[in-house]
Amino acid sequence: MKRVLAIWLPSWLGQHGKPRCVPASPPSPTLPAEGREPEENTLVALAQWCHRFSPSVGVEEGEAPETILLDATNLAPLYGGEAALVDEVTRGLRRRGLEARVAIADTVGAAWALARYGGASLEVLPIAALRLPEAMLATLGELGLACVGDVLGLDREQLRSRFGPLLLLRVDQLTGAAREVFAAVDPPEEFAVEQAFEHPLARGDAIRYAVSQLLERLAWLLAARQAGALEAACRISCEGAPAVQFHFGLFQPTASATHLLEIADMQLERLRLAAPATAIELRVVRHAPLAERQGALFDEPCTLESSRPLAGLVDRLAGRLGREAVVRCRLVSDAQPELAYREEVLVGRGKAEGGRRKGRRLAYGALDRPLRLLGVPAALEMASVFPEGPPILFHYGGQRHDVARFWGTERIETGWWRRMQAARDYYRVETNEGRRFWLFRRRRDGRWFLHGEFG
Amino acid sequence: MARTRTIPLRQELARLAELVETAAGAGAAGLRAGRERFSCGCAALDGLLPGGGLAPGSVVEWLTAGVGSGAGLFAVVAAREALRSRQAEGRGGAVVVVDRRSRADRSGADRNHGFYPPAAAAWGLDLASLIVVHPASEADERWAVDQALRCEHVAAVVAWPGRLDGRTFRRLQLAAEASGAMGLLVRAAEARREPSWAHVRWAVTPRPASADAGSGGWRLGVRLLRVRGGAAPRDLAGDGVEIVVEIDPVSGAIHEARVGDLAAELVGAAR
Repeated sequence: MKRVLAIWLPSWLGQHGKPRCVPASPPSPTLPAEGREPEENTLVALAQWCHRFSPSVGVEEGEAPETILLDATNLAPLYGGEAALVDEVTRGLRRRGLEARVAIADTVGAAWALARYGGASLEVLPIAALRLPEAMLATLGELGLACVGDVLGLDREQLRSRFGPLLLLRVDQLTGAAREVFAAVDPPEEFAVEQAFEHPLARGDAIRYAVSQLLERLAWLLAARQAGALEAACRISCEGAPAVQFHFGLFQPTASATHLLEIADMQLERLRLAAPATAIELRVVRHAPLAERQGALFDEPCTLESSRPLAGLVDRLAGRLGREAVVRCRLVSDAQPELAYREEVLVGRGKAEGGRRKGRRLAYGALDRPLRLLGVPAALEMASVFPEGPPILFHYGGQRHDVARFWGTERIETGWWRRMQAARDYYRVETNEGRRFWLFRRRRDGRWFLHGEFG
Repeated sequence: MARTRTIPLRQELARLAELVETAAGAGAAGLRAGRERFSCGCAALDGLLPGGGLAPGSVVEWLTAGVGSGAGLFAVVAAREALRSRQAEGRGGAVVVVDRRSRADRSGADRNHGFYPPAAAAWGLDLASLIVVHPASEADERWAVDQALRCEHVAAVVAWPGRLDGRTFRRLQLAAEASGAMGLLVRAAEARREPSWAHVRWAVTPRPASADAGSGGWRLGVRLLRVRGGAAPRDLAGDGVEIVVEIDPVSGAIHEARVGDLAAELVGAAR
């Protein structure tokens, strides 16, 4: 007997009718939450996530879908009853930060209606549960028909002649007299290969050879689906010892076995196994569609996003130095100088954030900010200070510096809501030798610090 | 009677010219068709260089004279010019800054400082085309500079390396020549004694402001120590010629300091 489970997300469409973003699962500080694709795809992504409950998952039709439908036929025994299944689904969604109402019924229409409006039986559902256009609902309301039971009691021919076939179709879909199916979304793709060895491998070059063979298979799987790997994980099970695993990320999706092997090599070289390897598993953690590579007719200016050699360079650098070591910088408007820019890791992120604001006017000129900034401002011990100015002389780098001229004050204050507040008065000073530094006085206690060197 | 082969004179001259040129270090990059030289940021300094500018695929060194002496900004300006020259040709590219966030320098002072991107942005470097790399050790730093120089879509690599032995330096120079990327290295003054395979070597010293300067411009003395493929102009003392430049604080332009100021400075120094 067919059973359908419907998940209604009440707050899916926000105030302006735009869908919210789906929080990442589990919430991760490194994954950016913005930059998702348009609304259908996000609900589709959630529907793909629901594949863990049912093999067939779909999204309701319509312009602004809010409901996910699952085929729950014969699923109940796996969860120990339908109530347990509903519970499992609700809890899973709540862990992702989504409030949902779940219902199971015999038909798509009934499940949809029960999820949205609740209730035990079909008759007491309001007529809005019939998924009719607004005008028709208004007319039915004027006629005094408030719930589905009222409509069920009327003569079918009269309803057809008065309202057309849609009303009857919806009623039949609700009761089960008419078949309704939903279009299932494709299950999420999994790219994973593994190999177990009869004789455990102890030699490094044998392990490397096995990894290269597995990468060829993985690349073949990826290429067949026109997908490229962005982040991959390798897990090596050892005999009688804990398994060893490592990750590596890529700047642009790639399905090239040689490139993947080159990056994996950097990690394999540093691998130390406690015991011979019994099995190796390679899995693609994140993937994205492969960019179409057309032979360029004209030489286009290459940017970070479009250039294969640059992507390869970024991958190699990140492979050996670590993914946090290769970054791109973005200016943010923050008063505190050390926080005035954000570093973004390049590999493993997929499509880079587009729409970088071009031609942003900076509030400071070339000689206003030091090219080298100290990670921790160096405290200065000084004796005397210019009136309304910086110290007359200070010691730094094992040398004494006498201040000849200075420019300032640049007062920088962070808001009271920042935990570590900074209230500083900055001065640009030039010594009598012509060296330039960036000093500040901490307003809290009047101490002086050196924050940067120009050049 | 010995049979002599007569080689046409023209052919022989052409062969010798080619030998001289390759030996002098013009290299593959300089002979590349259509790759123009670009400015190092200051017209007066360009005038000292053969060809009127920096050639793509070369390694340029700036030796500092201690902290706060302004050498790093020339590297950033040269990187900016290299990127713009490539963009003007329609080729685009990226600039790679290798920033090791050094903990201690050779003098033992604790310098936990690093590259500050907003300042580079103020100098006109496009942050969207900038990759910053943070290696953990000196060996990783040398490797990163080497890798970045080999990539043909890199416009320039800016780094503050520590010691570079002759072999590594030579490898960097060959990598830059092959790919057309610029190697822009800022070194401590002690590196002057070390062997260098750089195509151009400058020394930057800060200069005190002149007595009547009210503008806030920064004076720096830039001396051309060495350039391959040409003789560095020498002054009377036999040292490389030094040009005093001034950086305009409003526009960031680098131009030669006015002669009148220099005269006043000399008078002031003589007193």
